[in-house]
Order: sequence, then C-alpha cells, then structure tokens
Amino acid sequence: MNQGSFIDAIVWFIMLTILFYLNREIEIMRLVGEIEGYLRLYKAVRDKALATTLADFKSVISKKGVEGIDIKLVEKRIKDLVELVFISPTDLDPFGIVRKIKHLLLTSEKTLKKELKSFVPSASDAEIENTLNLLEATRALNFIYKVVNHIYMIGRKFKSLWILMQLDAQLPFITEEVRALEGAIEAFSKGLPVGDSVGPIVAASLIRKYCKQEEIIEEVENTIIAKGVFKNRIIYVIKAKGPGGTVGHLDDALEWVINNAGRVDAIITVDAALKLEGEETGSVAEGFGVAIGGIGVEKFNIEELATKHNVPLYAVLIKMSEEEALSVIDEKLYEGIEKAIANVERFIKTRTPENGIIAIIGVGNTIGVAP
Amino acid sequence: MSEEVLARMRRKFFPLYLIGLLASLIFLAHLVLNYIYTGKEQYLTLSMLTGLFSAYLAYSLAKLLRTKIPIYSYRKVVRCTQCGYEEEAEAKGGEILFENAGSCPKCGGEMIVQKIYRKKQLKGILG
Repeated sequence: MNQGSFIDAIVWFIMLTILFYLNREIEIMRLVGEIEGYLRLYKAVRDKALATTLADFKSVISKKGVEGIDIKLVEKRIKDLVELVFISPTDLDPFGIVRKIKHLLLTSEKTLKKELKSFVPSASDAEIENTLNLLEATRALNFIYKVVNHIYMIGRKFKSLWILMQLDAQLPFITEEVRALEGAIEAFSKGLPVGDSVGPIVAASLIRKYCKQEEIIEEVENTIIAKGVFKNRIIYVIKAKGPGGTVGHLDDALEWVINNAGRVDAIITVDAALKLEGEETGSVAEGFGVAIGGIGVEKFNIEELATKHNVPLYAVLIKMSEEEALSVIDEKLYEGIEKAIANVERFIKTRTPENGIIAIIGVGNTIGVAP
Repeated sequence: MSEEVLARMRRKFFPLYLIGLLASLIFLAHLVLNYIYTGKEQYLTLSMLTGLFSAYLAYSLAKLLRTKIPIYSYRKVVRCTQCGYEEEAEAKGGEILFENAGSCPKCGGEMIVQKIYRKKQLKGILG
C-alpha cells in the first residue's frame, strides 16, 4: 500500500497551515465588517443627536427673540460642551469622597446652566434643563462612539482577533445603550416624560390625591415637597420640580423634612428599575432600602439620614428596559404606576403607626411631569 | 433612527440576494437538465452544491424581508376630572402630564393631561 512520500506530507502540512491562516484572516474580515457596520450606526446616531441639540437650542433662541447673538459661537460652545469631561475625585483616601462628588456635581451643574442661560437670559429653567439633558445624552453617545472606535482601531492595527472578538461580543449591549440614548434625545427634544419619570409620576399622582396646592413648597432648589394627610398619617411627598428635565436634590429635601417635622417614621422611595430579559415591562417589585440610581451620592445621604434617625426604608420598583427608561414613556408603564401607588398606600396602612409621619420620594427625571 | 440606519444598510443587500438567487436557480436548472439528458454524475454533484447555495440565498432573502423596523408615534390622553370623559390625540411635543388641557365638552369640568405615551408600529424593511 502506498503511504505517500515525505514531500506529500510536507505539502499537506503547508496546505493545512495556509488553511488555518486563511481561516483566521477571514474571521478577522468578518469581525471588521460587523464592527464597522455598528460604528457607522453609532456615528449616525451621534451626529443626529448633536444636530438635534443644536436645533433645539437655536429654537429656544429664536423663540425668545434674542437679538445680536453669534449663532456660530453658540454652535462652537455646544460642540465644545459635548467633549466636556468630569474628573472624579481621587479615591486614594475614600473618606469624605461622597461630599466631594456632590460638590463637583452641584458646581458643574450650576456652571453649565449659567453658561447656557448667558446665551438666552430669558429662557425658562425647564428649557435650559431640557437642553442640558440633550447635551448629556449627546455627550454619552459621543463617548461611546469614540471608545468603540478606539478599541476597533487598536484591534485592526495589531490584527488582534481577540480584541476584535471581545469588542464584537460587547456590541449587543452597547447598541442597547445607544438605542436608549437615542430615545432620550427624542424625548428631551420634545419635552415629553420618559420611562425614568415613573417615580415623579407616582409622586405627582399622590400629591394630586392627598395634598393641597398651598401645601406644595420648594425649600430645596429644583425639588418640591408637598404635605398631605392619608389614613391619619402625615405624608410628605418629595419629587424633582417639573416639568423641566431635572432629578432634583432629594436627599437635601428629605433632610429638610426630617428637620422640620421633627421625626419621620418611614421613608418610601419609588423608582424605575432595569428589568431582566423575560421580565414584563411595568411589573412592580417591592423591597427594603433606597431605590435610587446614579452615582450614589443621594443614595448614600438618604441611607445616612435613615440610619442616624433609625427610620425604616421601603422601596417600590417599576421594571423596564434601559431603552424604555430613557425613551418616551411606554403605555404599559402606566399599569406599573397604578400598582406602585397601591403599594405605597399599602405600605403606609400596614407598616407605619397611626399619626406617623411618612416621607415618600418619587425618584427620577421629572421631564414633562407637573408639578 | 438607529433601526432605520440598520434597515438602510441591510436594504443594500436586497438586489444582491435577488440577482444571486435568480442566477443560481437558472444555473441549477441548467445543471439538472444536463444531468437528465447526459446522465453524467458530475452534473448531479454540481447541482446539489448549487441547490445548497440557492437555499442559503433564499433563506437570507426571506430573513431580510421578515425584518421589521419600529416606527413610533406619540399620543396623549386628556381626561375630565369631574365626569371622567376621555379624549385621545397626537402629542406634538411640549405637553405636560397633569397640566390643564381646557374644559370638558360634556360637562364643562377641568380636563387634565392624564397620559402621554409612545405607540409602536412595525414597518417592513422595503417600506
């Protein structure tokens, strides 16, 4: 039987090597094509977001009839603000870092508002807040595009299959986030409530049901506190002041309530929560603790206050996807809002003493929600 | 919008798949006829391979045609605080939840914006 010569074996070996090499090259080509497609998508969304932000601010300028303004300068400033960077305080010594982050957030927010207001002094707070929200979403989209492009270019430069594969595996999650931010651009430019507004909508519904107009005060900037009565308990409903796109200063408002009421017997927070795939949009979960997202400054401060005054913390969560949280509110979420209101009322009836004082906090962006 | 960009990118492949499928089907028919008239097995082998390729193209084309892109519209529901009468209309932007929306055409009571939401509709990739 002819078993083949040594030369045959070498030829086979070379052919196999070439095949393996080609397979790798084809795989890289496939990944590059796929990533480039997504990058084109991210760039298109980023560019549209920037155009929307500019158009929105220009419409505020023309609506207010501001004269003698250099539109090119405004455009340049808006483009510069999209590249804005927030530098987190150092955590080498973490003691007091929450205070430092809060200081950074407050001062940067104030400065940005002041700068935008300097272009259109007659613009309302809601208009400035909506433009700031648009800017924030555009900045996030710009950052995502740049980071994905950076990793892609490094992977391509070094022909690294592993870098490209890792990036490709992350793309579905990144695309989900891009779609969410894209929905936010649409919502903020129209000034309509988003999925994340469910907390403020629950709070506004409770204010309409149990509080009088004259009992609504704004002791803390951008945040309203409404006092009312429910089942022989005094309730303080706290939410960001609408209808501008703001999240308020809920921790400061709670501190004001505790200092003025003397005590609080329960703190109930209502917020949007990210659902897992397979979970129903608008389903409601209850829990213990502070339901609040973001960097964690307000969460930390509310937990500190609750611990200091020995107040139980209850939470009501309305489930939704990331895209639903940032896009104009879905109809299904109104069912969740009804359930959340019923849960808050049940908590008050069953878990708090008669004549008790209860703080209810509607957490989230209050865009398009009054008061 | 991102869905539209994706759809636009995928739509580019539509003529490619269609022409490819038609060409491969014609080639397949030619091979099958050759096999029937000559009885040579290499035509059968080639027609099997071409058949597989045609099936792949047909599957890709069907997948492309099945793709739907969501189109969103915005709606608002205004409700009378006294008699509960409701009206639904398009939300053009700038509407505020729980704000006054005029008086009720039935009882003259105060109408408020009770709901603002987005409605999803699906559209085929070819429009």
